Amino acid sequence: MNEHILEYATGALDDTARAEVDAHLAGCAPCRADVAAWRALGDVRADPAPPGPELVHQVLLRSALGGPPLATRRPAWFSLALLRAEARLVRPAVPIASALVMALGVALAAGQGQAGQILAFVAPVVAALGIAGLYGPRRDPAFELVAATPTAPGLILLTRIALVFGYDLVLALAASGVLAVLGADPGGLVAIVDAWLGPMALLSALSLVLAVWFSADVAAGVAVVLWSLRVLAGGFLDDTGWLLGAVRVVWATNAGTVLAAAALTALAVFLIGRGEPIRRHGATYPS
Amino acid sequence: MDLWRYEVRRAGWAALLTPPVATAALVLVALLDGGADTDRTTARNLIAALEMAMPLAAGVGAASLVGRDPAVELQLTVPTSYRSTLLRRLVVTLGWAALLAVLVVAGLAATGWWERWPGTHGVVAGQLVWLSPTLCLGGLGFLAGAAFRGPAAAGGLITTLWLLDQVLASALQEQYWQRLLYLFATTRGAVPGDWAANRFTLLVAALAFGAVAWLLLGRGERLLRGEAE
Repeated sequence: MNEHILEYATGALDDTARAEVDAHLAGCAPCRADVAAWRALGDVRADPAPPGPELVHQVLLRSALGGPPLATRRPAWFSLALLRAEARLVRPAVPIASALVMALGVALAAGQGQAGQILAFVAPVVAALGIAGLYGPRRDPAFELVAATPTAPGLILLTRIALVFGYDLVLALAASGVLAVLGADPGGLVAIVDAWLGPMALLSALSLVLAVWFSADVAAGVAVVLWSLRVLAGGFLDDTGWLLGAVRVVWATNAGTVLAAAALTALAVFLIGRGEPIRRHGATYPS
Repeated sequence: MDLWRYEVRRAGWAALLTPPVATAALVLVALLDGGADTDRTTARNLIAALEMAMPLAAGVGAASLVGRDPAVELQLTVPTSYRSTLLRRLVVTLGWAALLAVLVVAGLAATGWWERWPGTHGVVAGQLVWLSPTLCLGGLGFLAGAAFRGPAAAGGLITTLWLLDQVLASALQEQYWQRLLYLFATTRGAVPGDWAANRFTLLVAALAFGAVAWLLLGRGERLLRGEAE
C-alpha cells in the first residue's frame, strides 16, 4: 500500500484505488501519519515567506560599515614549501642526464684544449631542453588540476625555472671551475663562463616562451635547430657571410642578450595561465 | 592505413616540421649566405645539410617518442604491445626524414650541385650520406628515450653527441675506430678509404641501438615507474 500513499495524498488516484486506500487507512495509523506528512509537505501556505528588501538593505549596510575583508597572506615559508614540493616532481633522469652529458662533454674535450668551447656549446642546449619540458600537459599528466590550483601558474613556472635552470647553472659553473683549475682553457674562469652564460640564458628563455605558447616539442625543435646553426657558424661554416656572422653576435654574453632573456622570461610568465586549457596538447583530450 | 595516419597525427607538427626546417635552414644558409665560398664549398655545405641536419632532427624526434603518452597504463593493457606502437612511431619519424632526404638528394642531383662536391659517391650509394647517420642517431635517440624515459634527457644526449662530433672533428680522425663511428665522414674530411666502412658501421650501430631499446621497452613496468616519478 505504501506505493500509493503519495499519489493518494496528492489526489492523483482514481476512484477505485482511492476507495481501497481509504479502507486501508481506516485501520492503519502509520499510513495515516504518512498521508498527513505528505500533505503538510505539499502545503505551500506553510512555507516561510521569502525575505524582503530589508534583508538586502541590511547586508549592504553591514558590508559598507565593516570595511574591506582582511587580506590573507601566505606564510613566509610558502615559497620554500613550494620549492620542495616542485623538487619532488622533477624526474631523477633529468638532473642525472644533464650532469652526465655535461661531464661527458667536458671530459672528452679536456684533453683537446677546447674545453671552454665544448662547454659553451653543450651547456646552453642542455639547459634549453630541460626548460622545454618544464610546464604543460606533458610535464603534468593532470594538467587541468595544475591549471585550477589556487597557486598562480606563473609562480609555479618561476619555481620550476629556479629549480631546473638553477641546477644547470650550478652544474655549468662547477664544470667551468674544474676546467679553470685544470688550466684546460687559456682564458681562465671568466672567459669560460662568458662563453656560455649569455647563450644559455637566451636559448633557455626562448625555449620557455615557446613551451608556454605552443608545446614542449616545438620549444625543443626550435632550440635544437637554432643552436645547431650557432655551432656550425662557429666551425664548419666559418667562411660564410653576414647571416652567420650575425648568428655569432646574437649568441654571446652581453647586455642585449641578458635583457632579451629577461624580457622573454617575463613574457612567458605573462602568457602562462592565459590560454584556454583546450588549446593545449592533451589538456582535456588526447590529440 | 588508419593506424599509420593516426601515428602521423600523434607525432605532432613539431616532429614533422623539425627535419624540413632544419634542412631548409642549412640549405638556405649555403645558398644565400655563401660569402666568398666557391661552388665546391657551397656544394659541400648543401650535402652537409643532409648529413648533419637530417640526423640531428631525426635523432631528437626519435628521442621524444617515449614518455609522450599521458595514459601509458592504458597503452600497456591493449592487445598490441606498447613497444610495437613505439616502433611504428619510430618508423613514421625516420620514414618522414628519409622521404625528405631523398627529395633533397633528387633536387641536388637535378640542379647539378650533387656532382660538384668530389666527396659524393653517386646518387645511389650516396644515399648513405644521410641514411647511416640518420639511422644511427635515430636508433640512439630511441634507446636514450627508452633508458631515460623522457625526451629532455634523451634529446640532450643526442644533441651533445652531435655537438661533440662537430667540435672534435679533427681529433676524431686520429684512431681507426673513431673514424668508423664518426657521423659526418662525407663532409668533414674522413679518410676516403674508410667511408664505406664508416657508413656500414653506423648502420650496424643503429641496429644494435634499436635492439637494445626493443629489449628495454619490453619491460612495461619501467615505463609505469617513469610516469609515476
